Amino acid sequence: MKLVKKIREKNYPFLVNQFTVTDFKLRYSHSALGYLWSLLNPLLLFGVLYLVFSVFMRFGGVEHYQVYLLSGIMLYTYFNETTSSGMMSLLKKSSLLDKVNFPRIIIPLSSTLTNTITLFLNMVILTIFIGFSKVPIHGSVFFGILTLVELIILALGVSLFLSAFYLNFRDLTHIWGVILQLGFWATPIIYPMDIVPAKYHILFKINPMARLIHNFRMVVIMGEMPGTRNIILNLVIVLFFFGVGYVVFQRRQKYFAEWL
Amino acid sequence: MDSIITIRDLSKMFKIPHVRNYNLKTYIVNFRKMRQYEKFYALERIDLDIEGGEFVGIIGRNGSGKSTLLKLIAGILIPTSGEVVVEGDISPFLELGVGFNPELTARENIFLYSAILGLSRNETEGRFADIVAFSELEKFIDSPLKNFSSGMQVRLAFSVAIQSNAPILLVDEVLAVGDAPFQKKCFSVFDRFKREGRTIVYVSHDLTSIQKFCDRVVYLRRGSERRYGKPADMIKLYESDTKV
Repeated sequence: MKLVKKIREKNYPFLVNQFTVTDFKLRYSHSALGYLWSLLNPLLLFGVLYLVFSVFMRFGGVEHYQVYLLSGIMLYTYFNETTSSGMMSLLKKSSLLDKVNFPRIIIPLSSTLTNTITLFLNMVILTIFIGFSKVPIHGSVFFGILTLVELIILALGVSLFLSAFYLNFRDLTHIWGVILQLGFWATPIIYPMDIVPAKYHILFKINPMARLIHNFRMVVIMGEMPGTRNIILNLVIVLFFFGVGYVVFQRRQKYFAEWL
Repeated sequence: MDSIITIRDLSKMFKIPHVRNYNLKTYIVNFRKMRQYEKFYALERIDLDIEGGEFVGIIGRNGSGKSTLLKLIAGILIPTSGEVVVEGDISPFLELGVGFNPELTARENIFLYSAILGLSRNETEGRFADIVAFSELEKFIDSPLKNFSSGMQVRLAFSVAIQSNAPILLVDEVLAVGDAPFQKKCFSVFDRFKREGRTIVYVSHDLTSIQKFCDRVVYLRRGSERRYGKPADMIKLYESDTKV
């Protein structure tokens, strides 16, 4: 039927790099405070939630609640922003999709990487925060990096899935916005997991963001080493999400130019 | 010589839905209605062989499928039936400056556009001076592109685009803009490409340049009808068809 033979020796890493860097520049170059604006959002959320839940309501029993809350907010904000902007990334580059042939996956990949730069900067802030909070540092902290890598893979997979459908269904932004909002409360970000009755804990087990955030806090704040079973299970889960997103994206990508 | 682009029995059908819809909600509510569409054949059963080093022009009225054909060759659209086999690297400058961002400086845009055209960082850095010199925009290299006139933007885009290494170039109506001296410069680049033995598929309404450069012309007439031949004959036919 169809056969497009391509003998191309293209420099795709340079393209990924250019998309990522220029998007990052464009996002922050037009405000004097630049990156600080993007930090303001999670910090403000942190400030309000900390006031309400720690000062007014007094959640008892969470060690280092500030770091607990801030790390949860930062990881969830990354997931939120990466998937939301990743979903729309193809449409934002629609003129390119219509005129130039390159692997379409580069677009949501670069979008994810742009957000990952912000995540990295946020982790520097979190580290400073941890320093001030006198959280003891354990060797298990290194597993926190693994958790972050898993988070990036998960966010990329979800972005691929959403972006592949967004061209046809533009109201996905509203639907996904609601899901993210629900997800924020269905994930133990502000509250500790053990205030939820045990029969509902299954929900946290199947919610990948709950797993990753729990894992991150466990290794960074509590200093517990994750079990082998836990490491493998988390990897399998995020790779499953990535795999589904990737397959869906690749199946639909050849029609993108027609759907714009 | 072997053909570098082989097109066999190529058709492209677009589905024109009865209701243009971008909503999931509407799609679910009107599931059956949404799936109804008209078939529109932009191209029907085209055969074409282009040999290495050939300069082939494509002419035809608006909507005759010229751009669709180029996009099929570039691999941006996929054929409904038939096949396109391309034996080599393609540089698609279907439109100049696609991917330029007005907020970025000319320098930043050169790097971005080079990456889009498939150059590496080293190649871009190595040719940066050439690009800037050709565009004659040395003085404005660090100004944001939004301050450039449209002519200046096209100049910059063309200067980057001609750096492509690809043996096959797809050119869609790129010379419509730019002043006379710059057009002359562009034509001298075309001459150079021809001498270098590159294969060029050139879509244009500018019959003078078609006559000047093309070895062969494909005339897409209405529907599935088409003619192949020498530029002079095809242009004559086209002109007699379109005479008012």
